[in-house]
Amino acid sequence: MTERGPEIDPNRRLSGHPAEQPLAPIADKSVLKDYALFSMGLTSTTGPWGTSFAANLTPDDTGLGNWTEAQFIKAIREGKSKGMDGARPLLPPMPWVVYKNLSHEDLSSIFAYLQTIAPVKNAVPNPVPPSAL
Amino acid sequence: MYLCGQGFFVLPCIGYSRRFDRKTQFFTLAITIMKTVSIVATVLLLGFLLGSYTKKGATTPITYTGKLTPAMKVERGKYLVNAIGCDDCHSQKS
Repeated sequence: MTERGPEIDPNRRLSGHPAEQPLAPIADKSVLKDYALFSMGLTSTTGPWGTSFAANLTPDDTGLGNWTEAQFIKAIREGKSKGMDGARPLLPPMPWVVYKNLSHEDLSSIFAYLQTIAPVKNAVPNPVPPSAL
Repeated sequence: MYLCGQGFFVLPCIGYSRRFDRKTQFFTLAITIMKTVSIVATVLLLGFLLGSYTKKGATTPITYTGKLTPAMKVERGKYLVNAIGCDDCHSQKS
């Protein structure tokens, strides 16, 4: 974090929430009634849905490396994790309900670009349910 | 014109009439020629313009069909990722 706010680490761009970065416990959970909390790097968010972590979008195996374009488009269109039927829903603040309106060609283009960026190994933690906060 | 109505001046009147008819024919012919020239000029001008347009179209054909090449898709994807702010949440910060 800098005086100008968080600055992107170019070497770990689009690699999601850092796996090695534990979050401090929330001392007063009553704040969650009125606030959603972002971690310093804005890669994780805590709210009524629990804690969600931004996914690794790089073409590493821990990211989108094993995904197909169809999975990616299904994930955005239907809000399904990993673009698979029966998978958990994508959690806030991922605005998939907005992005689902992108054209097939645009979503396909986004996936094509994400497959060209540098792969970063980073296994993003699973979401934390509200009961476990 | 007045004398032309009198019997003594039939011939001059006829002559005048003939001159008048010649004038009318002359003007009619002139107008016809001018109309013809205008139409021909317009047709030639349109032909020239159309020919020029066709030549330009022939040398620079429009080949974009709406399908993106793989390279264009990557560029489009890069633009979209930056425009919709994926970095805001998905990139690690320092």
